[in-house]
Amino acid sequence: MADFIFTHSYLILLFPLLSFALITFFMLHWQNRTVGKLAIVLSGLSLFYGLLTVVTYLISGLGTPDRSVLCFDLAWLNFSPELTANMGIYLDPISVMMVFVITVISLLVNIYSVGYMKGDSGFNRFFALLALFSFSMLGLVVSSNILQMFVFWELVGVSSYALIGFWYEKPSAVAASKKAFIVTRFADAFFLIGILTVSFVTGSFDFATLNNPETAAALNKTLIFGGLSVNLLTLTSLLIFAGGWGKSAMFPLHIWLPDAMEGPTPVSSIIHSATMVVAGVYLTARMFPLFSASATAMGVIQFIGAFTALFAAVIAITQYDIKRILAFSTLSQLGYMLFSLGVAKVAADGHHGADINPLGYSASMYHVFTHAFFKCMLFLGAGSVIHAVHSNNIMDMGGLKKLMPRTYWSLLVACLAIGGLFPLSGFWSKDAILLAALQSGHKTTFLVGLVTGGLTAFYMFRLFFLTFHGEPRSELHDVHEDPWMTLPIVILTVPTVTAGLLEHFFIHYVTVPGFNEPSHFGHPGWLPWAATGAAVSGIGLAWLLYGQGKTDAASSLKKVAGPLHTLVYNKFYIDEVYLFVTHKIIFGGIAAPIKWFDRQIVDGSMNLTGWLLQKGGKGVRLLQNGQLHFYLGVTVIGLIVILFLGK
Amino acid sequence: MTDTLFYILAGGLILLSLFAATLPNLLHGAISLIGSFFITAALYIMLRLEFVALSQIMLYIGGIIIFMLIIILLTTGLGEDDSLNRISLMQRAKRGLIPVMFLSGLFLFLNQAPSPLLQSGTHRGAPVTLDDIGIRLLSTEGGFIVAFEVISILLLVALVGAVVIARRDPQEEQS
Amino acid sequence: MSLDNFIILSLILCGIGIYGVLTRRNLIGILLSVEIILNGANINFAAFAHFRAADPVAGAIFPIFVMAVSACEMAVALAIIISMYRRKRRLDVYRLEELNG
Repeated sequence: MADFIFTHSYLILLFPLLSFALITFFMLHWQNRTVGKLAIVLSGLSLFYGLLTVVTYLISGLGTPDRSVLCFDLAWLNFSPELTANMGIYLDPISVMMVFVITVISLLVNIYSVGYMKGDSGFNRFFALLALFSFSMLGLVVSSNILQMFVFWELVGVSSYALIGFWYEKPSAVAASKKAFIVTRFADAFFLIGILTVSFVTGSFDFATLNNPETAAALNKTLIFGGLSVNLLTLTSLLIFAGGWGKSAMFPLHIWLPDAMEGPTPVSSIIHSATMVVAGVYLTARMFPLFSASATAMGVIQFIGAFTALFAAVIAITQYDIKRILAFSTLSQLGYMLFSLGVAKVAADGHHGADINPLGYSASMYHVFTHAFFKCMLFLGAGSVIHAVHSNNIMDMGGLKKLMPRTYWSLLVACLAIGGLFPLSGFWSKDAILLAALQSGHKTTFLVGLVTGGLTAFYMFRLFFLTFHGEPRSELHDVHEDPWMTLPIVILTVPTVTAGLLEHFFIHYVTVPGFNEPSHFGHPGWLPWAATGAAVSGIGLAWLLYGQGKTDAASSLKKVAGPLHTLVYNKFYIDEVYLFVTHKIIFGGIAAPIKWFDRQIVDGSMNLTGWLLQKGGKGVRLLQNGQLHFYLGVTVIGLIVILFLGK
Repeated sequence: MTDTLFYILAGGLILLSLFAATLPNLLHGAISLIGSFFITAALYIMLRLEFVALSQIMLYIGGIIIFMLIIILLTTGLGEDDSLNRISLMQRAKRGLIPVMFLSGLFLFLNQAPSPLLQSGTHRGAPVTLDDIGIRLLSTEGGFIVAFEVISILLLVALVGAVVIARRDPQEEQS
Repeated sequence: MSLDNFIILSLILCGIGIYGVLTRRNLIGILLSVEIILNGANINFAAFAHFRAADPVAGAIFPIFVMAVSACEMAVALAIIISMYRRKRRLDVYRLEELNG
């Protein structure tokens, strides 16, 4: 029975693909209602089979020694007898967790989109792309080897490109989709180099081989590049991580994520919760045994994660666009997930004698799980609000509490969850992350996490109060809650509230492969109080400043902060720095001389050749005067010349 | 005896060819060409190539020249060349220089670098019979079957091409 | 009657043909002159076949090929003449300016 279900686990991927193919090739001009129903049904079937697989795995897969099941493994690319790439489905705790998250959220977003996209001319196209997106992400998480993962990784990139630029009539949407694609592609180039390097050394693409300690040992050697000595293990780890760096929008490659808000809100929702951005975290978790062998790589991951968490939270405080605030909060939470993976490597002065703290890994995956639900919910709720108010600016909102009661209460739960209040899911996962940081001896990272937790609570409730409390700050008419849209939001409150119960499950079963022994780290009792304190003080501050839906206190504070606020509001001018680097330095300094050389020298020589031939042709043309006698005479004279020459 | 006959025939041939190339009236030119072809046929017989003589008469005179006569009559009345079509004497003299130069060049060439074929001992071939030619034409070993077939196709293509070129355009017909 | 006589005869015919080709302004006249050149060539073939060739049959076959090819040429040329005549009512080669490049 279990074998049967595992063998057919490709069905999880097949249903979204089928949905995509059917809509694209046959149903693009069908009635929206039919297409929506089909998409929901196929998405539901995918969820059904996904749940079946998850349950089967929980029953029979967890018992296996390394807690993984290779459902099938087909030979796909045969580069050489020593190097083959397979296509397979690999189930282990994290991929099963992701399958669950993706299928659930994909179904809910599909239901929500029926309401959100109602009347849009691209309704059918939207559902096709959404299905492709789910398919790509599902393929990514169940990949059995890194090359297959890369293929799906790029598929995720392509479908996100199409979805962010879904409203392609809007120039800003087109620019945003291009930005997302180019930035992630830039990172993916390093990822590909990393794949090539690691497969060159190990002769395999399979995760099982790559994560083998022997691989790390084989890679652990120093190379000298022109006087610069590099550890190959660190280099490949960082190269592969670079893919996740771009995909998960870590600083300084975060610039695409806020702009990606140009896409329809359900897309933002699915990008930020289940697909795309968590792919980077997932990749890091997937390659964790290899990465963790390199202290430098783990240090980089930890630093980048912590920095982005704080950086994005600070920016989020000053933003006014509801979706952008959520985007920056995603960045911040992704930072959490990454530094949590990073702190799984115990600090050099850690006094526990252990190298790896499995709690960091488990906590990160746990946060991916809980974050997916409440972030999805937040976006869906924001989408509902935008749909009702027809504006993204939270200054245009306010007083929606009475008009949208279901959305209000659901979003309150989600905001409390992301803020990290007991007993909601966010509390447990953040607590686990902070605990891991503390246990591993990374005190700075721990403090950053704690402060960011407070900031998170503050900006989330700033958003919440400004949106729902006080009096409407703009004229609202025809505000209503679409049942199609409210239903998924309400459903999502269930996992948001109850996911906290799964903490023990995650800590015990979602562990680093090969590090199954329970940790012997201490568990300081004051930590939950500190985290809750940070969260509560954030919420309290938000209540003081914005609680009544008024902004007077905040604007006076803004005046005091002055240039600092401007700096933060403009996202530390990172976009401008990029523009300067690309336009002034790359375009102006490198591309322009190359262009000049191409135009003047390369094209010039070609043009000269053409010009010469043309002139020559004109000369020859004069000989073609159409006089038959001339031709015949010249022929004979030519013969005569040949005769005299032959003499 | 044969020498005398040859000189007479050769003189007639040159004279008639000259007429064919220069007579203002094309009809006269074509008729003198018929005469020159008859004389050529007689020369072939002297060279004991009866079959070639026969085909010269049948193909050239019976086919090509008759065909040409019809065209001349179709296009230029009784072959009267328009006086405008004449070329001045000066021009004729100038253009006549070209064949003269060509011939002198050839003579010079042959005298300077004689072909060994010209020097080799004379060999009077046996008469070529019709059987020999037929068998040789169509035999696959040392024969001319490929050339024969290629020329067959060429003839076919030329026929089709001639029809296509000479056919009236539908638009032309309307106007 | 020797090979030399025949060669000279064929050369003279060739020269007459070239002269005709260069001086005739009428297309049909040019065709007549081309036939004279071909005739000279045929005589040359035949003469070599008779006086020199170890294989006289080949020499007899070549004039036949030449005749066949000249028949082709004649068919196409006459088709061209007809179509030109239909268009210009005149077969003057000086009128074929559209052949220029």
